[in-house]
Amino acid sequence: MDVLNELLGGFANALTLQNLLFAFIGCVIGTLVGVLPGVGPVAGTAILIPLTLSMDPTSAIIMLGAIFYGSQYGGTITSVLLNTPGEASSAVTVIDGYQMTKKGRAGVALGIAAIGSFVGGTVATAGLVVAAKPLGSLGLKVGPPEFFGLMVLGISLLVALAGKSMVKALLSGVIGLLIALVGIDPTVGAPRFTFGSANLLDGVSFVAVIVGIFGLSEILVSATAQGSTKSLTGGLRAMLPNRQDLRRAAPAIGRGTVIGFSTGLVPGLTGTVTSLLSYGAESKFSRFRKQLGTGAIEGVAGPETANNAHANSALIPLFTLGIPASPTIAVLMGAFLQQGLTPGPSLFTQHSEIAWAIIASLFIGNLICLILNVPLIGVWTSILKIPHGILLAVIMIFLVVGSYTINYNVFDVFVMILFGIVGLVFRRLDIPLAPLVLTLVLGPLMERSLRESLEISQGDFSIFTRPFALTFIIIGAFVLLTPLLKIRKPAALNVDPEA
Amino acid sequence: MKSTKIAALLSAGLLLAGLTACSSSTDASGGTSAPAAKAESNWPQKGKTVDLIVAYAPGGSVDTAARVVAPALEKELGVNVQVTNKPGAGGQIGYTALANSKPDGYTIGAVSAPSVVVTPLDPSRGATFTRESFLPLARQVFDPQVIAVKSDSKFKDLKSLIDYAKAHPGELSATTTGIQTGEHFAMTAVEDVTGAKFNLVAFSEGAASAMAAFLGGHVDIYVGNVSDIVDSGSDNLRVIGVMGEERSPSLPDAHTFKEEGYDVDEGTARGYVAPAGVPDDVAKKLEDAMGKVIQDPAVVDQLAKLGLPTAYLDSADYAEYWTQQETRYKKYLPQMMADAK
Amino acid sequence: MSLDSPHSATDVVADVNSQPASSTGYRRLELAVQAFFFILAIVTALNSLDLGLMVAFGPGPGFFPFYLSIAMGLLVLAWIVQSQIAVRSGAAADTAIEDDIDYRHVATVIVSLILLAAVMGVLGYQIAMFLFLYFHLAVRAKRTWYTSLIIALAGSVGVFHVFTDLLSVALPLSMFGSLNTIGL
Repeated sequence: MDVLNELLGGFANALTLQNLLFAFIGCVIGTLVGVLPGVGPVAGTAILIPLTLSMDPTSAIIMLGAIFYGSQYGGTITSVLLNTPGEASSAVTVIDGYQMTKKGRAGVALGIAAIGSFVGGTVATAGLVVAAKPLGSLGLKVGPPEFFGLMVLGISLLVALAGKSMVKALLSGVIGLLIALVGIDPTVGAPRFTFGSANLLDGVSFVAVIVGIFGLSEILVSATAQGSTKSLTGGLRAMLPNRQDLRRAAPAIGRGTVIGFSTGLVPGLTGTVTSLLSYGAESKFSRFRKQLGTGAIEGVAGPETANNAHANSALIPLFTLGIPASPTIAVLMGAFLQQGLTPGPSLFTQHSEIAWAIIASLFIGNLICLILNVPLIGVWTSILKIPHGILLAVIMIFLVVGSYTINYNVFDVFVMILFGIVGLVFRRLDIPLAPLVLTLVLGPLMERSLRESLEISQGDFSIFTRPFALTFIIIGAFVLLTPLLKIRKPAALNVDPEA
Repeated sequence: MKSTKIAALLSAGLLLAGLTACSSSTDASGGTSAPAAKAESNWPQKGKTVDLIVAYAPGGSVDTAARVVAPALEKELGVNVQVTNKPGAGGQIGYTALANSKPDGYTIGAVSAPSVVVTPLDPSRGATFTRESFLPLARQVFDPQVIAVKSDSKFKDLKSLIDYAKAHPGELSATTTGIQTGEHFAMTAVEDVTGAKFNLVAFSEGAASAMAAFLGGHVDIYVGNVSDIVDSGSDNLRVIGVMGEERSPSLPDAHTFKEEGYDVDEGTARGYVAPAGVPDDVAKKLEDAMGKVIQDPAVVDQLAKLGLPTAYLDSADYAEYWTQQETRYKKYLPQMMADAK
Repeated sequence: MSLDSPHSATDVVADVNSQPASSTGYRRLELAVQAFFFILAIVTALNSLDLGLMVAFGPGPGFFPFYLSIAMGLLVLAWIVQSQIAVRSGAAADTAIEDDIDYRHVATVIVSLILLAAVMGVLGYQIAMFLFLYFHLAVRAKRTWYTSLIIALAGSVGVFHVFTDLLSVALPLSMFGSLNTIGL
């Protein structure tokens, strides 16, 4: 078969010592970049591109690609160990990941994240090989109205995240939506709630919010808490997921792969959106969903698999159509261009060996990242053995540098501090944080796609009756509205008499 | 205690690593306290760094071009040139920082029009800088706007499109990347000159999302820069009009608007400026250096790969071009703001 | 309780936390927050009317903020009702953090962070972070002065150089030219 031949040829190229080395370097840099909040794969890749120009194009792209999906592995580490997301797409992993750390299962969390990421990435790449062109065109069929429908569906999942009090979950979601509205509105371009500050014209920085609401709030809580993070003993074996864990996480990994793969095809759906949708899906469909929020392994396996599957599948629109699905891919695209390669259909006709070498390297790179990260789990988890006072200080450096380097603006550090307080208060009053994060991400996308749809139709709402758009909207509305009936029961009466 | 010792050792190690990584003195943009006369004659001083402020995020075309220019400028000036990103608010944050920085020649910036021209003109944005806050050094790029349709579209050339749009005002949808962006101005100019009327749809997420919507058939016409078309590997579109003086070398088959009889000349202009008030001789050195770098064949070549055509204008010409742009935008702005309501 | 049984996670929490919903610390915080968000809802609703609810093609800038702030107000009211019921019935407080907030600790951390952020642009990252770290290590965590010194230096000067030189990510320098010449 033609494709198989080309792929094998690609492997031959990708398995040269030089390209293996570059894939490895890319994974290392990617992991480091992922660990640091603020410096993301976008900045990391953009800054490195000039250095790669003197390199062979294949090697350069292999390395930069490895940085890209490697950063998804890295972002998990601080999320799980320190309750501070290293990447926006790892934000949701803090919820269950950190709880697992508190229970002494940090290694398991990191391990399952690495394994799930590998599975998701590999399947997504296989999809790229097998069905790139039709999938690429499929992704394009999602226009603004369908996108809007997806956003409604996504936001409706916040209801699944509710936990004990539906009122508080909805309140958290509404607050997230209001925060998302700050900035220049997409309709007339007028500043909304910016208090005249140019810093707010782009809205409140998402990474600053999550670093504060998760990372800083944890510091504010754990002052008096002694060494609440259990020190981990036992060899490497004890720190990895056992068969039971794997069996339990398998459905979540499966769902995450499907979700991540699908969202990668749709331009505009980022890794962050993907991991949130995955968490929402776990809240709705997982057998153990009641344990989400207290250290359920699905809460780590699902989102981490999804964001890696997304990272690899997002390459499909790039390779087949030359469209970057997210800002990160756009930077990668810039790398292609500067090497004289134009991503798109012509890449396969004019530079087919390079294209296939890169694809083969995606398989290899995912494997390298897995092999790289698993033994390092012991190293990362030893961070937890650092005395509490020092660890706190280190984390605070992290928080400050991380939020500063988002936009090289001290303003974001203040945002981070503010949301640290918000996170603390919310946790004390049992207002869930996940809905706020969900709506903060999806809200702007929803308003934007609503706007675009109405501009296309010039005000005619019937544009939303297109089949897929309508389907998504109806499902979303249904999911959102039916549990509203739960509000009538005050929380106090929900105490389980069998407890 | 063992763990404390480990921690102390680790941090000592980090400190050592940090110190050894330290190369030459890293001060940027902080000037010395030497009196002005002295600073003039020996600019640039060895060991100091010139800060190149890019008001956009890393990876975008302004940033990428700046990162091609920076190493070449380093060679030319003999001092470190460091790219500093200050993204946000469509460039406003970076431009504000640039306007407020010390005019001693150690801070310059990359700018892109229309945003740098328009931002001070729109009162609701509350910009604290004006045109006079900057001293134009050189223009590097002029990236004309183009109109494209799908390959299987019934419009084979510009005239048929314009005629149809005149006969059916508002029926054809066209992409822009937002309000008061290059595409918005370009289409306003087109409507003004031809009398046609289009339905403009803003894709504030950027050119990529506009392209995706266009390729997916959700919007009829794609409006964007030449570089957007070149960057996109898609073979499913046809460029039927280029809004430049001459045909674009990257799109040799695409007719210009002027060729077809419509006087439209619109595009994105990118260049470099310094804060106003830089001493004359320092300014001259900067202008000359920038001129050399921008016209350096290696630099031109790198930019061409990105689809960015080099169209060098020296300081005086750039300033004049800026004035022309500003006049044009001032003319269109009231109508554009009214349209949005 | 094994992690593998699908039973409710609340089983675990209910045993550990027996703080009643009416306990003063919790209640005070709850009331303050409820009041805050209620007032915020009203203020936001009024402000969004100024932005305009509708424009030619559909919802205007003020549309979503207006209806969302109304929703927020209603939700806060529902919450107030629920918490009143909880207090009256003597139920356990809903919380993810068992102990009362240690306001002194929170204030110290927050204020020191605010000062750090404010001063970072003036004194530069290195000096500001050094002072911040030394304070938290030596004074608050009561480490020895030399441990604190080393870690503070690593976290300020060390981190600065790693980022600025190795990673090409610029952290702020001080405003004062004289300090710039010694690399600060």
